[in-house]
Amino acid sequence: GEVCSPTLVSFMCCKFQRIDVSKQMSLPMDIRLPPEILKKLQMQSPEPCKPLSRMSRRASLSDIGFGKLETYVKLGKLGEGTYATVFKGRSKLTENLVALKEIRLEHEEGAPCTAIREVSLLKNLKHANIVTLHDIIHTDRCLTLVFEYLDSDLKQYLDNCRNIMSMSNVKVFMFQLLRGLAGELKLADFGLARAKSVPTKTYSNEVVTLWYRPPDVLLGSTEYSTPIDMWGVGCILYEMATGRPLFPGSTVKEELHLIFRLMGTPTEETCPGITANEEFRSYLFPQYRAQALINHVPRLDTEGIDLLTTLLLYDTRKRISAEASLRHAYFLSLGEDIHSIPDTASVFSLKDIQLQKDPGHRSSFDCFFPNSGRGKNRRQSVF
Amino acid sequence: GELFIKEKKKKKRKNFDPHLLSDRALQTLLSTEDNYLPSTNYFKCVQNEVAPYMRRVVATWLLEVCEEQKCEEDVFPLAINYLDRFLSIERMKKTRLQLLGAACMFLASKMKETVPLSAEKLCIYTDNSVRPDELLSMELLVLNKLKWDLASVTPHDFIEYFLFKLPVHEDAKHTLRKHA
Repeated sequence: GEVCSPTLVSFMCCKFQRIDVSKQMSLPMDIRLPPEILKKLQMQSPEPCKPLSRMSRRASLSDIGFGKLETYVKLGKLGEGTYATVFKGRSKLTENLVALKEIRLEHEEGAPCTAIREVSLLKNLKHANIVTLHDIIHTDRCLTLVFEYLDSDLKQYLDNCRNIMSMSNVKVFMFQLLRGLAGELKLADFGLARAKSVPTKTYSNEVVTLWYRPPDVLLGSTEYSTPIDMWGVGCILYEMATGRPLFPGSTVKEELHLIFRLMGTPTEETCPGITANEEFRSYLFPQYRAQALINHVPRLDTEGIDLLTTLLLYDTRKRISAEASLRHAYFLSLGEDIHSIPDTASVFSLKDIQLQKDPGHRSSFDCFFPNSGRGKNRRQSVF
Repeated sequence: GELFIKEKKKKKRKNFDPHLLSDRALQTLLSTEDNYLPSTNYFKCVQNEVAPYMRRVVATWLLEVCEEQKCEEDVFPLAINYLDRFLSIERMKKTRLQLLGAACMFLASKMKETVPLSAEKLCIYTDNSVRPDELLSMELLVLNKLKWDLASVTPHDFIEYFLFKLPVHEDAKHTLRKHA
């Protein structure tokens, strides 16, 4: 049957914001009903034993177009995978752009477990830094998930600024990523984290790379734990600060080799239990010493280097958590207020939080070097 | 059926993530639980054929399948949650109750297990009174009626929190976990 290993999907649904999008429409459960619809529903007699509110809400949501395929116009295909096809679309209700993910439900084993998990987990999530699921349409053979449309991901952003990001923007983006993951942790609080599966394809159907996987997963650990995500966060901090991926391996062996060469080959001291790991022993890696990260990420300040170091610890018990990292000294300069904004509000709702112009941004760069060939797309993204 | 009973399952057990044992997590769990509670009076208000003893028969059967297939411990309470929630909103013929139970189990296994139960295996456990195509269409009906909202909180989810609070030894916890 279908094998769903218990690991993470976090990066797939984390998003970055460049502007405040608080006006967007949310999940149908929260919508305020137009008074004429409520009135109409109140005239119908409710079934016994059922609260009126839920019934009326259900019927009225459908009245205004939620849960109906006709409400959305398909604009073009964004990608196709083994179990889903993603289209760009527009909602006739809100005129907003949306991403329509069509999942085929006819398989030998019925509804794919990935779809069941994705929908039931996303239904519980509402966070400014996690992609929002707006609507679910279940027709005969097909399930359509309506997501907010994200026009740019981190990869495109980095390409656009030719891999030279302002260090203050790196900090704001990092904070958003960690906020999203801490929000994810709240989801995991529900005991749901274990129901996740390893993504092999992204939202837009690119193959997920090994570049952001921690050594414990590369060495065969199938145990889900939140520190798995944090390793990837460290890789992304490096990538934003330097403009190049940290460990761009194409095979598991090469990936491990790149990691060990920089961070040192794990020992019983840095990674308890490693000497008993059969897979690790079979690779026979040389004994590398850990290198100083500051030499590799010179643009990152001392606090940033410290955060990066604690994100890239081999010992999952010592690796910093999303919540703790939000309180790391690296983020002190963002101020205290950033810790008290509600989950659903963007960090840009604070007037002190603003993005700077990136030194390598295309429009400014082009004036001076119109034909420079930098920023070529050589990156695979997990987003 | 015996063929499957003898089959040994090679599954990797998942461990509980210790990062999640905070009081805030417990609070979230408690408040989320409310969103997934079935109605307590559906035998009277919704059903006209299905009676409490029939639910007990189906539940016992589901538990036996879970034990024999060595399903993850949370699969059974989750399947029962789906069953009760479905029966709280949809009238069911008693002849289709086992089919419903099988579909709920099918879904719970897909939610929680690394290697979910196959449709064929479940049908064999019904002594072939349920066909795979019936199971698949019932699965879609359950998904539709429950609005794909399958991330229920069940009593099982609280065990680790309670054990965490108890001042007992790890070995004793293992025993308590088994008998919870």
